[in-house]
Amino acid sequence: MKFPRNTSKGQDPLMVVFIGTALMLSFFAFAVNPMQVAIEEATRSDAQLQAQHIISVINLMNTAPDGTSYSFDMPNTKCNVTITDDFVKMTVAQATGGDKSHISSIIKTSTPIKTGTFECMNNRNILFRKNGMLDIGFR
Amino acid sequence: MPKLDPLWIIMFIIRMIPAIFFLILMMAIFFSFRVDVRDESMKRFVIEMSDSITSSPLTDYKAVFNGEKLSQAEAADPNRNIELYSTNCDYGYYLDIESLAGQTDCSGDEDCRNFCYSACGLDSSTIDMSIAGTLTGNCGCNFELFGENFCQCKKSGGSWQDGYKWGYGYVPGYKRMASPSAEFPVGIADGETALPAKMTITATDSFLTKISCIAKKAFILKEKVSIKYDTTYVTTNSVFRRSGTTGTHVCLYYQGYYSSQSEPYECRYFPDVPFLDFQFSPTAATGTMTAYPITSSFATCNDIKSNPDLIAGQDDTPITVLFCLGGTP
Repeated sequence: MKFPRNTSKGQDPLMVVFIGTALMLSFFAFAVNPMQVAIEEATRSDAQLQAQHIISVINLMNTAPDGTSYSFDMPNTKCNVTITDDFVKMTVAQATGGDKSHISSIIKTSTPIKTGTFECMNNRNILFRKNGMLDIGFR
Repeated sequence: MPKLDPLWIIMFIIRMIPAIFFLILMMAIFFSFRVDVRDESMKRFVIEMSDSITSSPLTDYKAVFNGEKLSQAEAADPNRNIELYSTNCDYGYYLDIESLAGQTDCSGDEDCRNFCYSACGLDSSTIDMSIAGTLTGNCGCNFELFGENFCQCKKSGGSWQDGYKWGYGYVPGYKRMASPSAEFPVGIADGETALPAKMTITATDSFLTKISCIAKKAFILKEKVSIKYDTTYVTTNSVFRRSGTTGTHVCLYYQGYYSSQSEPYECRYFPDVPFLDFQFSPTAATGTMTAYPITSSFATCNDIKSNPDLIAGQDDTPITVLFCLGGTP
């Protein structure tokens, strides 16, 4: 009876497992960061999520003490934000063409809100500042 | 050329199987990675609403409520359909505030005067501590054969209560699509101190909130707004219109409204947005409906199909809102 040949010269299944796992882990390690960036960008260019983010900021700023401010990073894409007394409308241009809009409602209180339309621009933020009223402008 | 050894090949395959399974497992774990973005907008709304209400004029300090103001708010909303101080278009809400301090001990009716003022909104002109005590009046000490006596009072049109308890807001009269609620610790001002209490806020998403809100969105933003409907949450052939002579509420009526002027089965305080009466008669259990801002005081869905200029644009001033079945949400 013949015994199996010594497989220590790179043919051992354990070596296959080791090399396969190492390749996969290195692939995973390199893939995580771009994937995270892609997810963040996908989230930031989602009209519904962004509109609701702004709504939450406004709702919380309405009851914040005077002097409170918050800077909202605008998505790095073609979009615009319309803020009225009652609503926030976010319109984001889609990569496939056309626009996608979402309208969310503000919790309306006695605090006046400065209304307006803001075009998204690189490196520009929307600055919310509470000072008797809720002032909204670019920074 | 090396000679292939069948036994070696078999042993190699047998030893490779666990390795292959391991790699498949690793790949399955890697490729099963999913991004699950959850909206949870209603839960967030409840939390943000609590922040708004605990800073509202109903409070003396942050989250410390004034009993008198709560009584006034409750009296202003006897039918539980008005959201005061903080309102939202997308979702309705109602809140209940209840003291956790327990009953107020007393040895006579006079001990309960302040309790009745605070808990039931009574004053010197409305308080009634008649001889029959708690049977015919609205404030008094409830004498117990066993245990401590405690104060109790009665709000106008309400039942006896022995604790601090208030509530107001829009309570849907029909099925809700969703209604998450959450409790928050608050206080009730009591002289120089505060009683511990809890505030429960329940957000509601119903057909009435949806249809009333798209009317407001269409009117203010001057664009058509569509939603999906499901007849599970609304009675087919219901009529959506304003109620009462002041028209501050929007209501849903059963089909008999036009013939018998029946009572609405659900109402919500929702002033200032004009719209044309709408009878909801869908041909399918689910579908879409659209609110159009129009530049005429009256039009039908056929009219705006044949003449789209009737739909208000950004440069127009809408007169009212027209509802039609169909559209793309």
